[in-house]
Amino acid sequence: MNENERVQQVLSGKTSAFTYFVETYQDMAFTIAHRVCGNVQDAEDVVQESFVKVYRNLHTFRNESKFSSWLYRIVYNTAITHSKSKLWLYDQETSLSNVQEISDFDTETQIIDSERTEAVANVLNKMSKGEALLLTLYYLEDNPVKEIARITGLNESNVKVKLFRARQSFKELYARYERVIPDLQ
Amino acid sequence: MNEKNNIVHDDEEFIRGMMQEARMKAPENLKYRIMHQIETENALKPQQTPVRLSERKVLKDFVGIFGLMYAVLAALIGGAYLLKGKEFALSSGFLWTVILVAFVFSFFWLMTRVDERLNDKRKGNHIPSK
Repeated sequence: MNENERVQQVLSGKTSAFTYFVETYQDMAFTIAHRVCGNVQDAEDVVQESFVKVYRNLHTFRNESKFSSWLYRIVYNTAITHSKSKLWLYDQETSLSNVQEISDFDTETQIIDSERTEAVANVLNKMSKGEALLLTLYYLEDNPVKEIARITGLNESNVKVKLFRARQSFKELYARYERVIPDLQ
Repeated sequence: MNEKNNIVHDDEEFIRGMMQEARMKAPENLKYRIMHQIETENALKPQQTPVRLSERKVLKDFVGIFGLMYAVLAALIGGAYLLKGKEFALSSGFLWTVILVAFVFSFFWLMTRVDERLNDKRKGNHIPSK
């Protein structure tokens, strides 16, 4: 059964069919919300609110875009509203010259959490929220630039530029992290 | 050029590989919270009452009776105009005839409604208006 048929099922009154969408997309929705809000509690609230919004407005969903893009856009907007943050202010982009030295990563934590997952999480936390979100959307979901533009409301060329900067920041920050914890590789 | 492409490709793969570690897992209970809220809202939503049969009948009667009334009036006015001329069609005597016809049909409509209401009450399926 494809997603369209499931949408029709939900619209015809079978609420339980909506579980499929929650199960399939909750992790990515949570990841996006967490990137924007910066904490688990708010991210949970945002995801819950977003899915309820999606359910209420399911009748307005057109098949012009993927269901996931439509959902992620709602999650993104809800998270922005919830956290009252502006992701795309120029001065909020990661400027490597201004990034605090690697010693600012909590060294003790680094030694304990010497696994790659924590390293990546740490690096993403050091980046600006906008850049971290773009990398998440681009690499975790394999969303094309066009879809990312739709989700974030930026134009495509803007997404490309920001993605380029985000990659640079990520590589640079990760390289600094590695220098402190060489066992990572 | 090829070498540069390879480096870019390697970078892409490196970041892609790293980013796979960044996927977060939603808490176990989140799914239940979401479905619980949706189901609760659904249960609290006022159920749409289907249009009752009698309501549909009211509309049908209305269109039927007043449709016929306008048809009769059109025929009456047209006939008067063609047979007796414009003066007669505009005279007060003829106007009273038109009013009488309209009154008869309206009265018939009123009687139909009263009868309908009494029937509903007798059957005990009258739904009080909110």
